[in-house]
Formats: sequence, structure tokens, C-alpha cells
Amino acid sequence: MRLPSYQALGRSSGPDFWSGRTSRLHLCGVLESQTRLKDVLKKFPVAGLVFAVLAACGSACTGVISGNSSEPGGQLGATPAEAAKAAKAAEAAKAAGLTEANATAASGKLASRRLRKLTPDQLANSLRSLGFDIPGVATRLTLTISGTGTNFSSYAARQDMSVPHASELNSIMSEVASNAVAEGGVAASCVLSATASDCARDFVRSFGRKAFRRPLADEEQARYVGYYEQEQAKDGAKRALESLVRAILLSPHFLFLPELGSVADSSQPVAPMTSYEVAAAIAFLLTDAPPDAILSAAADAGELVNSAQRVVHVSRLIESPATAGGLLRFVAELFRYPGAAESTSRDPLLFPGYNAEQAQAYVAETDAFVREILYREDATVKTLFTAPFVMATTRTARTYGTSDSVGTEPLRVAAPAGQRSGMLTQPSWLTAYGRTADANVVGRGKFVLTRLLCQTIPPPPPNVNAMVPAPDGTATLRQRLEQHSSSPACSPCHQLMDPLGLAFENFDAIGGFRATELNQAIDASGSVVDATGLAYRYQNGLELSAQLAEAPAVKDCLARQAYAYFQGQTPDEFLGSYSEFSSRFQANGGQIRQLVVDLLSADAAFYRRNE
Amino acid sequence: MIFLDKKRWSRRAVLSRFAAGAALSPFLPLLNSVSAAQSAGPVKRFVQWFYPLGTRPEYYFPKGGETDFQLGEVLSPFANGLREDLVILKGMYHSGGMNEPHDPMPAFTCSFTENDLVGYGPAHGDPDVAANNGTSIDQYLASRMKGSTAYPILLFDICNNGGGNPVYHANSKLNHKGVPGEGSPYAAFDRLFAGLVPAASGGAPDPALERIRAEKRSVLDLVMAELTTLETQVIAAHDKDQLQRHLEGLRSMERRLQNPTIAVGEGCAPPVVDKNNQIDKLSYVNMAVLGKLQMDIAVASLACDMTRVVNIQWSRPGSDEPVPPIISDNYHGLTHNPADDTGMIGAIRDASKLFNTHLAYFAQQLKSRADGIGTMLDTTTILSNSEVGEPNGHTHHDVPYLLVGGSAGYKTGRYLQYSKPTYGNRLMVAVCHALGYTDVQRYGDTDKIADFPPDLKGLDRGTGPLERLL
Repeated sequence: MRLPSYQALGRSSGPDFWSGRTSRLHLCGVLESQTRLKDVLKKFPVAGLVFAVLAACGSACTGVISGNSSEPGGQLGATPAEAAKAAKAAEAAKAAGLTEANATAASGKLASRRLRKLTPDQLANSLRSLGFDIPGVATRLTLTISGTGTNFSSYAARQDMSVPHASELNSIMSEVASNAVAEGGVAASCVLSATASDCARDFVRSFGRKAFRRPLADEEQARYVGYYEQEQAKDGAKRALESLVRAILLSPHFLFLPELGSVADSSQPVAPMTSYEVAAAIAFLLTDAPPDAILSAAADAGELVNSAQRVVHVSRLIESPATAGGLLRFVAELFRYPGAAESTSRDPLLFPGYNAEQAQAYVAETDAFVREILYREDATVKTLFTAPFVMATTRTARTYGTSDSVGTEPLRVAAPAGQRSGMLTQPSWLTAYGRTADANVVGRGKFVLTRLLCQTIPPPPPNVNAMVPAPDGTATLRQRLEQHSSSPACSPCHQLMDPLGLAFENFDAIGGFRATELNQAIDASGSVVDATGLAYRYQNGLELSAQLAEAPAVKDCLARQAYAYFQGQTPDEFLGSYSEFSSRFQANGGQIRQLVVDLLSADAAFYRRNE
Repeated sequence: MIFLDKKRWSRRAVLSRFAAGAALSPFLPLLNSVSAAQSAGPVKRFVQWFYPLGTRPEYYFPKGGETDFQLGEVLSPFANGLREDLVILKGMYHSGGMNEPHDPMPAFTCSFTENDLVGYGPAHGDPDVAANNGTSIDQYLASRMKGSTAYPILLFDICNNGGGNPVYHANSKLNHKGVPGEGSPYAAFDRLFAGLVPAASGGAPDPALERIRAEKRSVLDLVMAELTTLETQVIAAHDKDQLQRHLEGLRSMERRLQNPTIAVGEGCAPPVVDKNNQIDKLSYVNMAVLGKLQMDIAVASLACDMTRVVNIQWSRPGSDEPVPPIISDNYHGLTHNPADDTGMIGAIRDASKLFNTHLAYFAQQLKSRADGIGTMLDTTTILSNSEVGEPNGHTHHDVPYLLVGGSAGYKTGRYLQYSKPTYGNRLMVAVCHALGYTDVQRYGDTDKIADFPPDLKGLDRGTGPLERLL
């Protein structure tokens, strides 16, 4: 391992975060400057900042997993000006009718009035609900860049429109529109109608209501009908309807979900979203699709304005996996297990027969496993991390060590004793964090540390060989990783990640179970201490999973992640305001579905700040 | 190439290349107005060219002096007929990344925006950080030339997907966000050339196409009116930006519909794109083929004067993807091998040579098209660069800024070596001057280097154009 070297850059010496001691001076030097601090605060993920400060000024990646943003759910990082602003917002929130608890929670951390853009899947589901089943729409929309990396697809600020994307949408909507006026299409009856204009008027009203998820305003209705009449005079009813459908589907009111509240409230500092906006938000977040008939009717009746009313609808939808696509998406994006299907290159000598088909089967099986946990089991964090069964298919039976020919649909079978239990032993997750020939130990460990314990860790320093040495047939992966613990540049951080990753050393690069490596018994034991002081000591991944399942820090982190997903805000945008949800989640034993009901019925989720 | 006297360029010379289709060309009025804006000089164009993970300085920089230099291995693709079109710059520093103690690797946008990078940057989970760093030079020049052509700028991506840093290769002044490019040559062709009628072929557009165009335009007008209204109701800058981009996307389609004919003249013809045999735009195996298609479309769009600013991005910064046929796996991963790994060194040399081979092809396409009294390469400034100098060290010094073409604005065929650290900021100013925007005196963050690296702390990045270039 080469130490970072400024000599290599033509310098005689320099402060270096990675060598430990002198690093402190440097970063602290940055932070001492008030102007820089402001910039850093603005741009740094807050938790990352805290970690970095602790790391640099206190102890760089000490052996204890520490430096979580704060006490679970605590607020942090507010300057006096921000605090004053927050207090003002809280007051306004209370005045606007939020409960005391919600108003406090909302203190300045409510999402702003905003637009959310439909994700490709949501767009496909919306088109389907309008009567257009266009195969592969979602995969054709390749130019959206939301939902990548560590971000959730629901983050409003990460959704991007662009010139090529607009052009892509235009070509899809042209296709859809010609579909609408073809025989059997949604607008076909108006093409042949004797009273074409009346028919079009009704069509605009009903199609517009569904597309915009609210009744059209009078002037919108008039504008679309006027447009139809103008085009019909030039080109006839069929072409006019086709253009009309295309215009409605290219409208920002279809492609975006406004969360703006009513016009009357637009000057209020804090205002509720309209019941139509609430219905759309609940529907897309929870079901990944537009509001169903019941939710639409509730919106028409103005029924979604208080928490008790929302609980009824959220509870109804979350009862069935068929209408909880958003919840399943959240779990998939949190664990990032669908990444298995994008990580299919494996050494054919080590993993004969492994291919994309097997990777896709893994992902489908974990989808089924999550449904099983959330809908057949008790939907708790504990069960998610410890359930002793797998969902196998014939294609993957060998991975699970089950000899049954189970069929093509995932079937629940008991995992071989002592080999698998819970999410972190699912082959999809293990493969997503696998490499060509061996396990991605650092990736697995970093996942547990950052995704499940909500810690942040700095990126590797420059000028170091960040590649784990390739297998050479003599050293086990644990041995090959030893330089991480022996090098002063690497060990401060890797001693946090590597033991967590090595816990899963019983699983190879495609998630297969193994008891030995190079004829040596696998050593998957380890120990770490988390930010709350809780010690984890384990012989293998099953034991680690069981301890994570009970850990308050994991529940707090999951509450935080769920808050981020269902509020559509990055953690640095809301830090502090998820504490009430976290406490309730801890108190009810980590009930995941209940957490989502809480999140999607709270007032804080449906009030918006006017700034 | 020859250093052209600006006075020798006349508007008549510029227009003459369109003489064949002059009677029907919808671009003529535009050309007139632009010619007026750029006074009596030639039409000038700018191309921003990016390739990932730098190069090996020992194989990149020439040997010899300003004019008697011998090209190194990496730039040898220019040896055959393009040596005199180059300005090779040595001693150049990236402005970005200076404040980041953890990771001095400049983020990509810094290589064309010349701004400080604060925070972790896009590789580390926060794409907005780097994307917030000001305006890249292509976007800036596009904003200055706006209205001259149907498209202020066209952005072409070649395999900008997979591992590495995401899409944010150009920042617009308006919103300081990354602007994604078009990754599919087929979609690019459709947007720019499908259904266009060569004016020289007789001129009468197909009535059926005409009707579709009229209809499409009315749809776009309706949607644009809604976008404009909604824009007044949203408050967040991000939302306004989203609506603006939607609007801009529709406008760009509309502009194309307004101009159903192109003036097929000297050098201007629709590119050849076989839509019946499409290849996967996401597959790195296809990178070279996709690249040629994108380059051909870009050249055609310049030759037909549909745009005067083009951005071409190969792969992505810090690419974790292959560079076939040289690197079959993870390029970024490979660059982290031990510093003395000769296999790695050779691969970096060969990969950067490959990207320069593509650049030489692109330049040659421009050079083969006459423009006024010279060629299109004389009137096109190509600025090539990468996100690092040398990738194993993540260096931000001796970054491979390279000018190809543009001899209408400065003398080419030179190797300029700067002995003291010289920041890209002043190169950007020089490029602006070369393109006629002499009012620009500062570009990007030109204040003193704040914190990092320590030996450059306090250095003024300077104002005015880079000395000796112009």
C-alpha cells in the first residue's frame, strides 16, 4: 500500500488527512474560517460534515463506529439565523392548523412548495391507467437520472428534465396519441361521433380529470376545447383528437406532480396541499401509480385534509402488496439488491453457468421474500433481518442448497440450517456486492455502515491503491484485506467497514454458501461498536444480522431512510424532523408498514413552506 | 495552419458556401444577422471535447520548442496532416478541487468551468456539489451566440453511463445544474435531420410532412403556454429550472419544425445513420462505432449551420467502465494500480491516444469541408481536456488542455509551455476573445487559491487572456 504522497505531485510536504495526525490541522483549518464553514455547511451532507469534523479534529475513523449525525432523531447544524427561521415556520405551521407535535416537527424542515416529476415507472403506470399499455415505456425513458447511486428515486430535487428527455417524451406521447384515436382507442368513439364537438368536450373533461389527477379549471377546459375546434376545422376530428391527447400528455400538469397548495394560500408561509395533491402524493409514493377510484373520490369530497382521514386510505392501500408498489420500491432502493442484475460479469471458471438470467431470478426472489416478510410475516425489522426461509426457484435451487425442483415461481422453502436468514443473506444483495471473482467485502461492510447504521465515511484518499489484491490462490480474502488494518492510511476507516463485510465471508461473489476458502475454514467473526455504544460480537453474518435486527441504531436509521424516501427529501434537507417517527418505530418494535402509515398520514408530510 | 487575417474574411465569402441552395435556404437571414453581430469576421464555432482519466504526461507532451516540436505518442494521431492545427499547452492547472482536502481530483465540470470545488463531489454521493460549479465554457459561448442558429448548443454523449460520475458535464449559467447530453445517435439524428428536405433537391417539402409539422407545432405552442403559466406559480429555483428545460426541449423541436429544409451546399449534407440496424447505445463495446455516428452528426450539424457550439463527451469522469479494445474492465480501477505498474501506464497511454485518434478524425472531417477561403477547421475552435492530468496521482497540474483548429482566431501549429502554474481560467478568457467576445476578462473563480494545495495557496488565478496564445 502506497501512502498518499505529495512528493509525487512535486511538493516537499503537505498536510494529509489520511496520515492521521497532521490531517486534523488541515481540515480544522478549513473549518475555522467562517466563510468556508458556510460553504461547507451548505454543500456537505450534514452527517458527513459531522463525521468529518469528528474524524479530523478528534479521531479519524476511530475503532468505534461513531460520529452519527447526533442522538437519534436529534437536530443539528442549525445556525442562529436558521433556528430563528425554523421557530417562525413552526409558529406559522401551528397557526395553519398543524398539531403541536407536527408543528414542532415541522420547524423549518417542511418541504417547500415544489413539483415532483413522475419517475419512468410512474409515468408508465399513469399511461396504463389512462388506457395506454405501451410496452417498455419506462425503459425507453433512459434520460432521467433520478434514483441513481445512493439517492432515492423520490427525491424531488434530483429529478431532471432536459432537452433530450423532452424530445424522448414527445416521441412517446406521439405514439400514445395515435393509439388513442386508432380503433378501440380511448378517444376512438369521438372520432365517429355525430356530435363531435360535444363528444370532445366530454372527453376533455374526463380524460383531463384522470390525466391531471384533478378536475380541469374552467379556463383549461375552454382552452383544450378551443384547441380541438381549431384543429378539427383544419384537419378533421381524428387528427384534432390526436393532437389534443398529445398536448394533454405533454403538459406539465401530467408530467409533474405539483405540491403547491391552493392559490388562495399561496402567500401563506405554510399552507396545506390541496386534497387532489394529497391524493396524488399518497398514491404515487405508496402505490407507484395514480390515485385509484376510491382515493380520487375522497379527493373530490375534500376528505384528505386531516391525518385521521389519511390513515384510512393509507391503511387500505398498504394492506395489499398489489397497491404498495412504493413500499416495495423503497425496500429495493434501500437495500439496492436489484443491483445484482447490473453486476453480472463473473469469472466463468469459478462460477460456471452463472448469467444474467440467474441474477434476474435472484432479484425476483428477493422481491418475493420482501413481500413475504411484509405481508405473510409480521412486517418487522427483526423478521426482515432474521427470517429463516428463502424464496427459491429451480434456476437457483443450487445456490440455496435446496435440491427440490421448486418450479419457476419463487417458492418459500426453509433455508439449510445455519446458512441463511434474513435480507443480508439473500443472494441478490450478496451478488450486488460481489465482484468478478470474490466478494466485495468493503462494499458489503460500507453498506451496513452507511445504509443501515446511517454513518458516513470519507472516500478513499488519492494516490493509494484502492484495489483489493486479486485472488492469487494462496491468500484468503481476509488475508488479502489485512493491509487495510496494517496501513495507517487505511485502517482508521477500514477497521469500521471490513469487519462488517467479512461477516458475510460465508457467501461468495454470487451469493453461494461456502464453509471453506482455499481449504481453510472461513473466519467470519468480528466485533464493532456502534454510535449508541452497542457492541456487536458475531461469529458470522447470521449472528450479525440477528444483532442488527435488535439494534436501536438500525431502527433509527431505517426511520430516517423511510422519512427521506416518503418525504422525497434528502437527509440534509430534513435532518431533525424525523424523530417522532423514529421513536414510534422503536416503540412498536420496528413495524415497517406502520412506520409508512405514520409517515404518510402525518400533517408534516402534506404542508408546504412558501419559500 | 495559416494565421488568417480577419480582414480577409468577408460576409460574402461566408455566404458563398450556401450559394447552391441560397434561394431556398431558411438559414440565410440568420447568417446575415450573425455575420453582422460578429462584424466582418468569419462565422466561428466552438467544440468542447472531453475524454476521461487524463493521460501520461511523458507520452503526451511533445519534445522541442514552440514550433519545432515533435509530437509524443499520445498525440501522434495528429501527425498526419493535422500537426499545424494544434496548440498544445503545457503547465496548465485545473482550477477545481483546490479546497477539497480529501480528494483533490477535480470534478469534471471544473475542467471547463474553472471554479472551486467544495465538498465531496459527485463521485461520493452528492451530484449537486460539482454540478453547482458555475458555467462551463460551451454553455457560456452558447448563451452569447444564442439566436444565431436553430440550436444554441448541441450536446453529444458517447457511452456516458455505468460506473463513474453521472451526467452533469456542462453547466448552464441559468441554473448551475448539469445538462445531460444526447446519448443516442439515432435520437440525435431524428431530432436534427429526420424528415428534412434538402433544398437543392427541388425544394418542395412533402405536403404530408408539412401537415404533421403544422399539427406538432400547434401542440407545442399549447404546451408551452401552460409551462409559462405554471412557471409563474412555482417558487423553487429547481422547479423553475425543470419547467425551463421542458420548455427549451419543446422549443428546440419547434425550431426544427420551422425549418423543414436545409441548405445542402458545400460540406452540408445529412449524415448517414442506419436506423434499421441500431446498436446498443449503452454498450461500451460499441463505443467507437457510436462515437463515429455522433461525430458525423455533430460535424453535419456544424456544416449545415444548425448550431455553432457542440459538446462531445466520451465516457464519463472517473469512468469505471472499459475502453475497448484497450481496457476490457474498469478503467478507473486500473488507474489505481501501483504507480510503477508498466501495464497500467501503457494502458493509460493507449487509451488517451485512442481518444485523440477520435479527435483527429473529427478534426479531419471539419478540415475536409471548405469554409470561406479556408476550411471549417480554421473557423472551429476545439478545446479538448480531461478531468485529471495523470490519473494514478489524480493530478490537477499539466492537465491535457489541447486546442485543435481555430486558426482564424490565433496562430496554430504551436507548443506553448508555461513555466509557472497557469490556470485554465485565462485559457477560457482567451477562447472567448478568439471567438470575438473580447469583453470577457475573467472566467470562473479567479480569486486567490484559498486552501489547497498548500504550495499554491494565495496564488492569483489571474485575469485577461492567456498570454502568448492570441
